[in-house]
Amino acid sequence: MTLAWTPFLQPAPGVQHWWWMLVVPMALGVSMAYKAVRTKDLADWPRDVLRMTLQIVAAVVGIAVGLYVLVILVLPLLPAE
Amino acid sequence: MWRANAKGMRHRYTVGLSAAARGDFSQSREADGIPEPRALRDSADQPDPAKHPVPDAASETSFRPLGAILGWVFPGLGHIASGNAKRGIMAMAGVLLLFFGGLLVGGVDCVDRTEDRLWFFGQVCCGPIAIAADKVNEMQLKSGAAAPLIETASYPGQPKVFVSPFKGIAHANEFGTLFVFLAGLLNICVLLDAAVRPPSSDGPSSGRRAVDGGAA
Repeated sequence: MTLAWTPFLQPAPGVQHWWWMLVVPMALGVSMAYKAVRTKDLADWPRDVLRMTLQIVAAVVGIAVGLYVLVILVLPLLPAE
Repeated sequence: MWRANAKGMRHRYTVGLSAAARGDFSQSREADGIPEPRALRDSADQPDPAKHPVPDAASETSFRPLGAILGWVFPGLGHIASGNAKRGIMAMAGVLLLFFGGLLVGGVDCVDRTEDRLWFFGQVCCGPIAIAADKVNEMQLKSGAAAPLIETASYPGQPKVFVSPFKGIAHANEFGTLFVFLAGLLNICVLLDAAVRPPSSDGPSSGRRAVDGGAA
């Protein structure tokens, strides 16, 4: 199945299993474009990109943990009626 | 006695109002007998121009439509054409990483002018490459050129529906669409920056961002 994959024409195989990992390249791309505009000294661009990428990923992980705690742990404690 | 005081107060009040109406607030202060604040009198207390530079008329931000147009034609091209090549290449790398990353994850089906029209409005901000991806989607996938179309479920009595077996579904399609959409939105920022950034202003001590100090 993977060998028959035609990049750019077919969707990437197995995305259903590792889709959550796509937050890393997404955060990286957003940081690269945004910091190219905002960084005043271009020598700081790689460091700024890395920092913003980590901030976005950490924020997404934090939201995921918060929603997990809310939905799985807190909401079941509420009375049924 | 109280009449004399009232007359004097009314005189100061009218003089102050007429001066303020002319925009001269110093006269109204003098008329009211209020001394100038020390910070305004003493030039030594003024902000240090070296630490807080005030942009002069020559460095005023001007909008250059050509930079925005070139930035839409290809991401980063507006910066490159105005002499900020390094910054343009960095912006181009970010936008193209998102664009082609989206196509890699979701296939060209994630750029669809007819089925995902609202998403396409954002995606087309990447420029002609988004339009080209939509055309490839039409010519290769929707026409059945890449793979024979297959029939899918349809409502009874309705026309049969045929789709490409390469059509993206679920997470692959969602993330591919989102990646290309984000590329388009970020390219708006990039092309607007190309339109207002002074030409050949790359460097640590020049440029619009260096003046206003907004780096973070």
